[in-house]
Amino acid sequence: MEIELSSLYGLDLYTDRGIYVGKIEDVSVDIKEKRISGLAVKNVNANAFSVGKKKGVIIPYRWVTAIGNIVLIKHVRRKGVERETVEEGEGEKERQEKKK
Amino acid sequence: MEKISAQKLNDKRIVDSEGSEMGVLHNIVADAGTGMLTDLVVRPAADLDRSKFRKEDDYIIIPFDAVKAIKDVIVVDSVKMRVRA
Repeated sequence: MEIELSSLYGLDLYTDRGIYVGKIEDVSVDIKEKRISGLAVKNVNANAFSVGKKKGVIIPYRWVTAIGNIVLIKHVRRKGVERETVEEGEGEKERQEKKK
Repeated sequence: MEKISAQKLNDKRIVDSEGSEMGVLHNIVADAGTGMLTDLVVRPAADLDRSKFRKEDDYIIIPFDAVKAIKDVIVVDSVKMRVRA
């Protein structure tokens, strides 16, 4: 299905478990790759994502599962997107240290 | 530099690789499944010959593959942009 990017602005974003994420404000595009890289989301549900002092989050486009009257993304268990990657990184380090 | 806000691209001028003004960007079309950008929807300049382009209402459609650069203006390849016309 083909979509015009402007039709995404203002759509509500939910996870596939029905949890509200926020409202799409902008779309981030990767010019070199010629593809949508992420969705800029504002009005973020603090229970779903901790955004701290920032205005919103960028949801990677690969998480998107459906676009219609609303947009669905894969459910993510952890709260902060950035924190998740940090924790994974630390876990990896610990594991490597244990190996040594 | 590769990642750009799509909102900021709206109303950007589009020129072809020969330097001719083509119009301003109205919208971008993408494939919802893959996220691949497929076309530019362009509000054509008044003096542009529209016969060589795919049209949608008052707009012309340029395949995204023709895009060579996006900085202060959008530069499109004069040859590639008519492939699907």
